[in-house]
Amino acid sequence: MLDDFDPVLTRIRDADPASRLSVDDATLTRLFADSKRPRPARHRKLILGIGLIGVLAVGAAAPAAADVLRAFLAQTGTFGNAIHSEEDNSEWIDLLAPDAREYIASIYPDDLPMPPGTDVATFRLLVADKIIAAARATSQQEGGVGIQQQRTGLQRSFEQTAYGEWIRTWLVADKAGDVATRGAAAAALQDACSWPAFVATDGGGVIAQMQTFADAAGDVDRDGVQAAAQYNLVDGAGGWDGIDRNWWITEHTP
Amino acid sequence: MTAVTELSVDEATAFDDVIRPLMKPLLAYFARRITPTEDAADCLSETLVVLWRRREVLPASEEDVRRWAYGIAKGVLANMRRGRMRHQALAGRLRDEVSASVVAPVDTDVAEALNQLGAKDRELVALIVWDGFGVAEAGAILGLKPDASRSRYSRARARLRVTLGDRQ
Repeated sequence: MLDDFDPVLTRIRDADPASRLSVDDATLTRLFADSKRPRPARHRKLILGIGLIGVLAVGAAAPAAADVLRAFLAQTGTFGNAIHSEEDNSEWIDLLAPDAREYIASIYPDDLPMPPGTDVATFRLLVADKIIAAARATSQQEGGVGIQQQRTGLQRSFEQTAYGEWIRTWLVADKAGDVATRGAAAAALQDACSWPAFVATDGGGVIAQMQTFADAAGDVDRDGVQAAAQYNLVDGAGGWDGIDRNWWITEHTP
Repeated sequence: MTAVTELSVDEATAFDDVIRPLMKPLLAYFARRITPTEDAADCLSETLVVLWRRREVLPASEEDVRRWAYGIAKGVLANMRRGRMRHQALAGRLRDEVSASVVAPVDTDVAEALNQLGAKDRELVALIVWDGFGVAEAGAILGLKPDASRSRYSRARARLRVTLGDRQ
């Protein structure tokens, strides 16, 4: 306990930089309530795959032996600390390193289910290129800063892109009356709720939101799947039709 | 099912009861160590999110909860600073300096006196004098053993007494 009779400590206490801080209870109450709320907005940021600091708390096991081995310049050798709000304990990857593209392509999850006809070799490079292009653009905008992301976040980008392709597959099959393909896509969207990087990086409510989309796909609720396309930025042919369906998301947000 | 409903009503109430009173002290903790104040608010918000997500390991006693919460706050603060450092692409040495800094106290003599302490000693004093922790508790947050905390704190006080004694 502080010795109140020590003039030196009293003087330091009186010089507290927070002594002039004031905050009203209503603000704190709102902040407290917000901290427990699902966060679709954060998810959207993560979809872009360039979040510098994730905020998830998952088990803080030691890095797997394979993760410790450094085979690429892009590997920083610095690992996250899940307890202290980083995404997990996976390695931070330098997205501006000369071999970042090769590194990202190398961590493509081989068991990731893809729609029929997908050229996996092309897909993994496309995702890698998209991540690097966004990182370079961000770096340029910010005056040449370095850009790093954790390995798990990069794997989430693969999952996120595959997820979008399954949404597109569902919408195209539904329009064409291809019941079998639509059913396969609905099953994949259901399965996506347990994909490892999604689960590991769920900042709160994302998986629950994905579950509502999966249910919509299973129930052949086209508005729901279009809402999923809108939410996940599935643009282009067979993707979001441009009609705002935030009402659907609002109604179905858990 | 939402994340909120995974917790029983009693458990959710227990979380609210012990964490809600820590909000102002935690905001003050950040305001002492980071500027602008908006960043302190962001850090508080981030800390609450992490506390909520890790609520299944909420310690049983209020004392332990407080120490646990400040341990997480310390990590959030480190991440915020690390993010800034990445952002500013500064060298490791400067990172170390900034990661150990506290916001300047309103009394410049006190600020100078504190700055003459080592980073860990300065943070130890701040945790005790401003954040209200006991010596051993503050040391635990910094990863120090109780004996080490006591000797560091004693040494820091002696140095502060000499420095500030010259300026009274």
